[in-house]
Amino acid sequence: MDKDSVLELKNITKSFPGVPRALDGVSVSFARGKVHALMGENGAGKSTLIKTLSAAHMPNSGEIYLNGKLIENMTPHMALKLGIGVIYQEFNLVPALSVAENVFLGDMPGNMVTIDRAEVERKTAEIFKEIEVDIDPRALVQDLTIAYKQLVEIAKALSRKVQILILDEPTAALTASEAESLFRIIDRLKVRGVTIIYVSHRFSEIFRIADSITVMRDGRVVQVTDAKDIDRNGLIRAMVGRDVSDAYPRRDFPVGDVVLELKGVGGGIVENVNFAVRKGEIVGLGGLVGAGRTEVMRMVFAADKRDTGHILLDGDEIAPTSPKHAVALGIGMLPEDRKHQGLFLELPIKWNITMAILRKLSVATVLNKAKENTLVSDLIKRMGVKTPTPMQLPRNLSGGNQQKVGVCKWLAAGSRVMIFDEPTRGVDVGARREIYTQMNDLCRQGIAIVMISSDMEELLGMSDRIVVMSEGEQTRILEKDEFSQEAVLFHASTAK
Amino acid sequence: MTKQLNIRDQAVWIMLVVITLIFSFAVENFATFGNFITILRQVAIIGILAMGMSFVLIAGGIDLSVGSTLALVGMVTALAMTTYQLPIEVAFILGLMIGIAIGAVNGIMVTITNMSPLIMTLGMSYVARGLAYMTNNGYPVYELPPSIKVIGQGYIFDTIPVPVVITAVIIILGTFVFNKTHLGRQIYALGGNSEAARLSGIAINQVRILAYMISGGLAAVAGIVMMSRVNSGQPLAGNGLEMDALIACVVGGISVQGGQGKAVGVIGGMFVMGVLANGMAIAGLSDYQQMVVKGGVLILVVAVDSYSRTGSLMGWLRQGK
Repeated sequence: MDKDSVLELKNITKSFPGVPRALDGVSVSFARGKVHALMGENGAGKSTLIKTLSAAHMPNSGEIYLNGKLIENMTPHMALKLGIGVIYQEFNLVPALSVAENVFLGDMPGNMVTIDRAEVERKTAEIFKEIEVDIDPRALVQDLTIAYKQLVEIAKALSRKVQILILDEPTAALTASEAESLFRIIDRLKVRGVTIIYVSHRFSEIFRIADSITVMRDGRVVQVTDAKDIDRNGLIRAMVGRDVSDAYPRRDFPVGDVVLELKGVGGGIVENVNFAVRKGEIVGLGGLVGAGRTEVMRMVFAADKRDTGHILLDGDEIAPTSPKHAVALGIGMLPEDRKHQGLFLELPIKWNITMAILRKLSVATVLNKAKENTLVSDLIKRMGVKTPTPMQLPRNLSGGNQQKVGVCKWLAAGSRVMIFDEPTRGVDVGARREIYTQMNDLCRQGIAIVMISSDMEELLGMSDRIVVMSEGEQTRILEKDEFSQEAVLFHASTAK
Repeated sequence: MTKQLNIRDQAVWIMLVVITLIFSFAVENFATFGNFITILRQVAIIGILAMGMSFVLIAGGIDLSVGSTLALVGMVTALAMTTYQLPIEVAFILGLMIGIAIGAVNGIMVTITNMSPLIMTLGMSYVARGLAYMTNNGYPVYELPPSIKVIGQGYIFDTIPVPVVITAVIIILGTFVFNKTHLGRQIYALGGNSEAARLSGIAINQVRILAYMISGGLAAVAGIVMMSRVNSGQPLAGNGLEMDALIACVVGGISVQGGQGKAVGVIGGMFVMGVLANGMAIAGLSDYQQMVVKGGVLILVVAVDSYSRTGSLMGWLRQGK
């Protein structure tokens, strides 16, 4: 075994229901005092790997060695004690407590009953001094900016004598200068011998800070290389790895007139988005997580407030004021977060499917149940939802079948524009194909589709055009003959 | 169509059968027709309140103001008929409007400010109780028109008390709304997943406010029945009944998490409460002892439900997460 290696994984496998090989025999080692970038597309297994390291997941098989010693049955608490700290995108801080109290939360100096506040603050100040950061230990966490909160998280890890610090997309919410100061802190931690595992999609920062780059794909480590031995294009090739296969059924029918058009739409982080969707066409929205793709479409659906711009439906300006209004205009949206925004997991499939058309189904407020039953069984058959009965609860269905129920809802509503936000996230391969076929079917019926996708293959395979966004702005519209993974990634990482 | 057997919805009936059998064997004079009618009369008012409460609970809220609303409506209606000499119908409509208005204020406040419905309706219960006292300087209102007595004390076919008939009609209507109308479906949707409901094009704010208005309106009906039964307006009427109604709902399988439970469960919950109270009273248990049992039943039912849902004690053993 490598002498510098502080953490070594051997043959780690992990599967979940519906995702048989989230980690498929991962062997990798991390050297002391180095910055290891962990890269890969969404679903490549990065998050699962991180969660395995912090013991949030138990691997099905494989071994983890820390400083050459085999660690067995690791618990989250043990991981912390062994010096493995993770800073997720969502912080684990208590907003109403002071910075110092947060840093030493769960590990307060003092006796059994009282906390030695002065000691807590002194120790916190010491940590901040070491990494050359200026934060008042007595400030309340809720008053800090995101960048400072992140530093509090780092200080928290350092207070526990962290050996390995895992950062999950740490710059996602930081400004350029905040990110730069984070990089300087990472440099200082390196000098102290801390090993950094750095997950990010942003190429420029990877090349700025990483010593070594580990690329994952389909639950496997496909490449480990020194950062200086690879360039951006090489990385993209390693991440994508293969050609777009024929997993995507072809559509060979003409597209019609423009149905939906966005002109200068903006609001929140989104600025000036312009594109049109024609009848029978799928327009893909590509970009990194947080580029503003979901936000744009939520504004079209009036789920969020829009500040500027115009939305045209069949050439007429529309100004939907609520999702109810948008639904009435013929727009449907399958949200990204199926469990929290899309489905009623505890209400029967039948009810889920007719939820958007209750009024249409009723006469003088009384539901026509015979009509409802016929409609629902037709749709279940048409979409191939695998369920013993329409009264089944969606939470007992697989991800793919859940998504089909969501599609059924908008088919029932007769939507003319459908927004699919990450239509196949958490959906297994077989059900994916069925959803794609259904999307093509919708196109054939003249429905205009906007598909937000972080799955590169899906984006390239299903779209007629791809609108690429970066940091809230539209950077490029790619026509079919310009499609390539490199092009999408290039425009998705174009800074303002 | 085969329906899934849901333990949660059935448990209340099993419980009802078990306690009825226990009391029938253990307590003399429990299993008689006369006592059955007595139980019916005792549960009638709780049944009306519980039906209203179930709308709010299934919509994902809670309404602790129904007991006080009952008193305020009773007082206002009684005063309208006596001091202000209004016709009975007008007085009743006035009472109903007040109940609905209180529900509307609850619903609108919860919707606009996003405050906890527990706090809003708790506050409202103090406001309404205070107003009930203020209407007549804390004194009850007597000498109501004799014709209203029939609502609270009359019988149909000389056997079935009129309040029981009113409760039955309300439960049938409530069940109809939940099972057959789009409003019922929307209330389940709101309580089940309010964001998904909004994104399905449901006007969740209106639905939520309407649920509170129904609860307030039914509290007013209960207030009028109560006033007729005691033949007076009592500022202290219905004290603590919101808790009895809540327990009836929860025992009947309506989750305080929202989106779950069946309106018919309210009937079961109401009878469990009634049989328990009546059986214990005949058996000679004091009010204090009865309170302990009622509270215990509530804790037991929710504990069994929560435990069966998480499936094990592991969540607790693993320290939170």
